Amino acid sequence: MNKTFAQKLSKAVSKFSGNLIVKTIASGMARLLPVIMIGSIVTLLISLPIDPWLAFLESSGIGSIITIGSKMTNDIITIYLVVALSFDMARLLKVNQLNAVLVSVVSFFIVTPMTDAMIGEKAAKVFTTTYLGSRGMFVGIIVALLATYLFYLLVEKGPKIKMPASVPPAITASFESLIPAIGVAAVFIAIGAVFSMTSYGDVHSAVYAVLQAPLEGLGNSIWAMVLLALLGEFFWFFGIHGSNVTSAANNTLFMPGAIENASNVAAGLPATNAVNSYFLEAFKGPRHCVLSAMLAFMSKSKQLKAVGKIAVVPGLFGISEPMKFGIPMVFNPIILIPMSLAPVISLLIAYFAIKIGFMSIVSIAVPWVAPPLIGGFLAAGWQGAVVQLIQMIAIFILYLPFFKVLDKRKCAEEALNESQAKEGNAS
Amino acid sequence: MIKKILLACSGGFSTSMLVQRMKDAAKAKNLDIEILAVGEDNIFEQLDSDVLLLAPQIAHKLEDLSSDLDIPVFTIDMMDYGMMNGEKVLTEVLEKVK
Repeated sequence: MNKTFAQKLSKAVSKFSGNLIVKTIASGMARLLPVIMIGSIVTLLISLPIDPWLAFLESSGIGSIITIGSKMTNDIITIYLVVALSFDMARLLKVNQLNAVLVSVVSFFIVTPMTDAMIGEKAAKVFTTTYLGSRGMFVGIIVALLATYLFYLLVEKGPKIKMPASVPPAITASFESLIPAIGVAAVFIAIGAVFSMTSYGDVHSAVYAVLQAPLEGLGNSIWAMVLLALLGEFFWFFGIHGSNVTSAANNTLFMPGAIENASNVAAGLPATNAVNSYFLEAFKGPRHCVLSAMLAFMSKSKQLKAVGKIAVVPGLFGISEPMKFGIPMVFNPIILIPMSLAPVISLLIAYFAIKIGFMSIVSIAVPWVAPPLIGGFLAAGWQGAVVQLIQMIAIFILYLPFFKVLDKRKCAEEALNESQAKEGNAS
Repeated sequence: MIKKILLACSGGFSTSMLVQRMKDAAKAKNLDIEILAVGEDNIFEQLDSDVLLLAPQIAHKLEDLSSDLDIPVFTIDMMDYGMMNGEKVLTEVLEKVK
């Protein structure tokens, strides 16, 4: 294998994943997990396919009471997204994190239109969840990144209020973020004003039309998802954590659809986005569990068996590193084909199961560490478990011929080493 | 003398396996060292560590992190990582950082 290409690739990945925006989106969106899990548990509880349970939720009224857990998470996800992204970007830029978060939230609400509504007899201005939920996520991302960066620029390079030397330093410090905060707010007020003069009417409508709607087309495409999965495995071949490179793209493209599904299900509406980030997490395929079991129970090579023993339990929880570096799968052309194709085939099987109406659309976040079958069951009921079982069989068949070649080669290597060692001892 | 070794991978999962084995190795050698695994996003919360070891799958972050942090940063050898050879990783880091 050409080492210089690997080094170049590693450098390029380092540059890409070290990019401020990519870094912020990748780690910021991951921080939403607690919020997402609150919403998901509600969605799980009210959609468990057990009839007496559903009847109980309905008759006791508990069902409609607990949906608040989804409404206050999924339906206003963008507020939390702005907080998380701004928090992480401020951390990376080393500016005051709380101030940056506050300024970003203010900026987001500045460009978010209020709607006229009647509450009883009284006219009121309200924020609708249209802009605060999954549909507003792109605006949230853009505003959080822009506001935080502007805040940073103004803090670092903007004008500062000069205080007489006799003013205590703590007082001076408290003035330091005032001008930047006011500056950022002024910029967003101006942006809002400019957009109100366009045919879009406001920032949200413009971003939705220009950016989010076209990207949602991509976000609904199973092929976009498959391609990103393939790309992730390609990076793994060179020893680079694949989702490290693809997670920012995956989250941006596929998370809005997942949140929209979760909102819909909690509100009693059907989920509509078959391709979404929850689907990806749950149905990328139980690859590590299958391969580690093959190593532990089927290999004749001592080394592969040793790796299998280390890898089989972590493999159950979707952790692959012992195999990636122990077999190794990294820089291993024999393993490259099944390694790349396993997630592709798995995703296509699951997608097909949804398309033919066998499995329901996924609208529950199941952490990727959930063991196979259990994970599938939580995400999509018994049909989900069946789909994962089919995936396991498919992955096994896919790996088998390559595994046999690998095992044979390792055995031959080991035999050679042993005989050399014996000769060495004899002489 | 090293007091605290920090290991980082993407989410802190696979490094936690190695940490367990390094702790066992440290115990066998009667060494009193704190060894900890974190996800790369949480490295900045553990800056009191004496050394940072990166899992091979995030070795591409070595340059970035070395320039950001004041503590020495190393990557873990691929094979040692795969075989979860805690003893060897511990011995090597103790040789490198004194």
